[in-house]
Amino acid sequence: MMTIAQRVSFELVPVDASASGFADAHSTAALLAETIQGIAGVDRSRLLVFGGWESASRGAGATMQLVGERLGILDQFQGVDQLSVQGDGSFEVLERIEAGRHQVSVCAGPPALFGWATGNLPEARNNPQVGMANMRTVMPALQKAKSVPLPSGGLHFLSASPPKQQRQTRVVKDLSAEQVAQEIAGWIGK
Amino acid sequence: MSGSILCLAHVSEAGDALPKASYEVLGTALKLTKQLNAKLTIGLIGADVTAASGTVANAGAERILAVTGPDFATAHYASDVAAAEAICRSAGAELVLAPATSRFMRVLAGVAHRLNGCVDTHVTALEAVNGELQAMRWHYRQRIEAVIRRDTRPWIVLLESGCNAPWTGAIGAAKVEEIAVTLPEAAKRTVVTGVRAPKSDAQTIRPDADLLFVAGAGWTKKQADGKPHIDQAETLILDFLRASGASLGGSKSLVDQTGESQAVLGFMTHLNQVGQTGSTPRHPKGLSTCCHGEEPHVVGWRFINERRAVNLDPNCGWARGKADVLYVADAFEVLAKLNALLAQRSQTNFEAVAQGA
Ligand SMILES: Cc1cc2nc3c(=O)[nH]c(=O)nc-3n(C[C@H](O)[C@H](O)[C@H](O)COP(=O)(O)OP(=O)(O)OC[C@H]3O[C@@H](n4cnc5c(N)ncnc54)[C@H](O)[C@@H]3O)c2cc1C
Repeated sequence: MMTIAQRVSFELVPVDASASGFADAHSTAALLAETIQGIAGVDRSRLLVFGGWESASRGAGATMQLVGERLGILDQFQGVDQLSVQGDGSFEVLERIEAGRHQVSVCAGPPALFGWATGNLPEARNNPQVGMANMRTVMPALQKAKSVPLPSGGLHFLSASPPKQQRQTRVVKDLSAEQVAQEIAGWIGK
Repeated sequence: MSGSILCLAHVSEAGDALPKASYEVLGTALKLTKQLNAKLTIGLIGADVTAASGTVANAGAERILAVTGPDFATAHYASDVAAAEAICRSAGAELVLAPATSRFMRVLAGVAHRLNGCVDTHVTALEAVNGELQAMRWHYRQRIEAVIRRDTRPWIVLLESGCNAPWTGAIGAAKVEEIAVTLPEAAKRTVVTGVRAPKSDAQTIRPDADLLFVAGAGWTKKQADGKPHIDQAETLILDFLRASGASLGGSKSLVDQTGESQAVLGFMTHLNQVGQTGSTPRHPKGLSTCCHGEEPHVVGWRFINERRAVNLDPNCGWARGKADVLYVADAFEVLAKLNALLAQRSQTNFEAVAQGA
């Protein structure tokens, strides 16, 4: 958070709850939607909701969509790499689809929800003034964060473990490039 | 327990069948239908499902439901959520199985919410154990494998492709019950205008390829002569992809170079990245070259059956234990020879065909 605070100015609305990858997406989404609805002065008809698409830590594949449904947002996009606002206030969205392609859509305008992929923009630059301004509000906001236990939502884990896949690797050291190529060609052709 | 199962699918982009993964889902649905003594319904979404429904006409479903029409031609949240909701309500199933296509990944969580149900994605297997449904799914992006069950019904489960045997059967004429869905104006604010794909000779991601070729950052590093050889690396890799039909994956270190103004492989983008923050593609075989990282070998290869690696470093700790074979060799030299062999092979095949004709 300290990294982001140096780069863009924002208001932080923290909730102290589990961010574990095992938390139920339905409970998480309910809490997020309720929190968004509780932000004073948010105009729901102009709301743009952004979140990570399949984030590395969670990857539930469902949380954003559930937040959108709870907020009544019917224009939802996932795996978004690009968003360009047009002259008339509509925006063009590029979403990742199969085979390394993008689906292109034009949405009339807010409200909308975006599960963001990687995009192609560089990270915003550090700006110490932005950092200072943010720090004045971030710390008090963190202190006020309410703590919420997330219900299991009827989800039961029978087991969870990292996969134990250990292969017997044959290490081939003394073949010429030609011989290696021949082996690989034979293997590919099988 | 699960008295009724719905197998949900959308028509393929070509419009004449279902996406390949749908037949794998149907295979699983049929297995569970038998194990649980349940009834199977198939639900289809698309502009026109006539051809696609024929491909599942003989699967043994009690009912085949469909939402059709021009509004349902393209993948789009507001229309797909309405169509899938209508089919689910009509089927009244406790368990809904669907393929994890981009179209369904976008929308089925929303459907679960509307049905007061629940949803799980990244599921690789679904079993009835003593009459109780258990799903195996990945958490932390393919790092942790868990077995779960859910109390809530309906339970919508998106199954990953390549994990279950597909159902196959003769094409027939299906009796399809059409469900009318009229979209409100609010559902028409987004219009899908098309698909943007790299030019066909630059198309390096091929989900149906037999082989995944993973390139690591080593391809852009200084070589024995103290210099990098980016141009040569580009030519060797592209020639190999052309000759072998392989799909191209890249390590994060390599794809990130694009954004850091280092010398880069021109055709490598973030879409190629494999690993925890990239994709975990499914192919029968994988060949990694110039990769040292854990991610390409461990997570990026998670669903690759046969794996081989080429690295100059005999101690490449990630290939050991993860690859079946590690060739300690110079990838530049190996690929040059390999391309020559593949070219020779296709020439021989061409001559054999020409002589046979
Ligand atoms: C939050 C986070 C998420 C990440 N997610 C991902 C992810 O999704 N995917 C991913 O890939 N990484 C990911 N990483 C990065 C990962 O940890 C590694 O840094 C990265 O994968 C290493 O890439 P590499 O193997 O291409 O490069 P390097 O580690 O630089 O390895 C290069 C290899 O090339 C070999 N080599 C050089 N020249 C030749 C030659 N002529 N012939 C043969 N071999 C040669 C060298 O011996 C070396 O082993 C992530 C990191 C973080 C912090």
